[in-house]
Amino acid sequence: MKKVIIELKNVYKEYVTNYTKVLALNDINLKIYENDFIAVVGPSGSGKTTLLNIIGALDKPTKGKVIFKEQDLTELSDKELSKYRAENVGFVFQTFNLIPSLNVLENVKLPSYFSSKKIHEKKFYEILDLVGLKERIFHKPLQLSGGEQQKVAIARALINDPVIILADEPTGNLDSKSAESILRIFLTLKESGKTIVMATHNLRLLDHVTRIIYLQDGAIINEVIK
Amino acid sequence: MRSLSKYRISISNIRRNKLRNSMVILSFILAVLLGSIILGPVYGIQNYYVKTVNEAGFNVIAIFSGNFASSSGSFVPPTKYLNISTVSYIEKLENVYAVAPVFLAGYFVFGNKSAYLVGTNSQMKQIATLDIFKGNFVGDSPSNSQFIKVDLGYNVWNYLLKGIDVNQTVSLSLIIPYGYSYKTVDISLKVIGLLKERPKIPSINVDPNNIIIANIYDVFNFLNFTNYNLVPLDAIFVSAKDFNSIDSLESNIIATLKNLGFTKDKDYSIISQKDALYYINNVFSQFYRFLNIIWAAILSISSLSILIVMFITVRERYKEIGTLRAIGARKIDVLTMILVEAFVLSLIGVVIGMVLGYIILNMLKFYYAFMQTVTDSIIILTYSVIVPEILVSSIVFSLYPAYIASKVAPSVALRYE
Ligand SMILES: Nc1ncnc2c1ncn2[C@@H]1O[C@H](COP(=O)(O)OP(=O)(O)O)[C@@H](O)[C@H]1O
Ligand SMILES: [Mg+2]
Repeated sequence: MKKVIIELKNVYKEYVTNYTKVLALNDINLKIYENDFIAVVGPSGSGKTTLLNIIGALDKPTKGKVIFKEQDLTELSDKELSKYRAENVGFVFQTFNLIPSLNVLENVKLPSYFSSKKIHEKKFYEILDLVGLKERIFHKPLQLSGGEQQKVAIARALINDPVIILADEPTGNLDSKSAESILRIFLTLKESGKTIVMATHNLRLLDHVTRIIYLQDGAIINEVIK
Repeated sequence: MRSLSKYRISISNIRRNKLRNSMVILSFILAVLLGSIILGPVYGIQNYYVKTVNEAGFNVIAIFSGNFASSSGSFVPPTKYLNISTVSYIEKLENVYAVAPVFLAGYFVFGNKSAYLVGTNSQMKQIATLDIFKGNFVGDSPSNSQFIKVDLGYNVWNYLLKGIDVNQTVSLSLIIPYGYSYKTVDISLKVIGLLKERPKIPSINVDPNNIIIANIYDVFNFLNFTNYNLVPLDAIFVSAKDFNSIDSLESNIIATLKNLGFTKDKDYSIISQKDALYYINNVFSQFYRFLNIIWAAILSISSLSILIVMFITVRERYKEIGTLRAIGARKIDVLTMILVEAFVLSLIGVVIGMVLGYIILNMLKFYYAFMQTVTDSIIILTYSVIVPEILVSSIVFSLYPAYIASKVAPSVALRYE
């Protein structure tokens, strides 16, 4: 039996705006196991981003529990959640979200500024080598293509050796060729034992993942385990 | 202790919006410039006055015949004059260090300049902290010779009687009051000492560099005064033992003079160095209250500029703040990063302002004589007052935008376009 890393129990997320209530997550129950590669699919607005944000503790559920190492994340303070994100989670976004004033190397170093984990200087170069950007370390994000920027973002997500990588439509802003190379990186990561949850529209990926979760109107309507 | 490396992000951000940040830096440059140009000269002038009063003598209490500072601004002649016997009463008081009579016998004319002949005693040297450049100071007993022994003020031996030296004699025409008019008498002087230059004392008309000092009895004898006690003195200068006993000695003198039948502010007026310092500082503190309003206006310009710009900056970087939070930055990290950015921005402006301010204050010295009072140490003093105020207000005013940044909900910020 594989080890459960994170477990969501009866998670609801409701957004209340001036005019309406939106139930972005509707009674989600999900166990994420070690070395899972989960694809979260579903139409736009189905709650994929909300789900990733709750797993990554960027957002709190309206109701329900998020268990990590026997601890309910919904009970933690902002400071403790920051520590959780810094040490256990690596985020990759659709829009890359690099800091434009910092160069590639500095962007990759960024998470180490907020974590107490000691990171050897050598590791920054190893990870940049892994994503194939060793030659571009002093370039600013705007001097890179979208695919290259996303590689920097992946390197940034990996630097703290996270327990889980959360990728929100990482190929959504990329041409098919760049998307292909990004997916290959994720597959390599899976091979090396990483746990990944990825919201995606990319059907090519679905052949390679371990589980597929289908979301609709905030609820899991189907789950495929391979 | 978390790593300080995160503040590299703050620093790197400064280069980002050059135009906007230049405006902020400019407002801080202006704040320092205006602050130092307005406050620097005032500090300089105050310092100059305080210094000259301090240098005017050793814990001096000056008693002048008549109402020296009457409200009409003119000299009101007294009904009872200070005289040599008054000196002996004051000498006996507690805490007295030295007492000297002052008798302005008349003046010498050199072209359009003049010098006073002052009769006094040897203690005047300590009281008025006169420094001898060469020779000796006049003694306490009359010289009993055809020459009156004198010390020459700095301007007298340097300009009016240029080239004169100790032990030389000189004959001059002394102009003395005579009834309601003046008369001229020839007088033979023997120079026994030359005085160093010293600052003019504010509000005292006689320039201490334009005097010729003689023993008071020599002067009395020369003018054929036989009963010394009947000769009206112009002033009596008293030194207290120490600065703290000035006030008590001053009130003892007032009491003694009252017993002797003198009416204060009619027959005599009295002012001490302490009074003068108090007066100067009082005038300046009123002035500062006024300047503080202007200073507050200047400060508010730089403070508002940092407030507004940091607000725009935070708004613009919503998504980045969300990203940093996703990476693990705590609220306090976001807060301090914004504060550091604001602080560095203002510091750049302040440093440039300090350099420019120094240059401008020194350039103004060529155009305005009073700017000479703004010495390097006055400039440092000025900066030590205004720079901390500017930097602190900059931090205070960027606290709110920084707080807003730290409160940004990361999930919302990440959706921000
Ligand atoms: N801050 C918010 N306020 C109100 N509604 C929101 C907010 N964030 C997301 N939603 C709504 O929640 C639903 C799920 O959104 P999201 O998780 O972004 O879906 P997906 O990523 O699958 O497109 C959508 O209907 C969206 O409009
Ligand atoms: Mg989404």
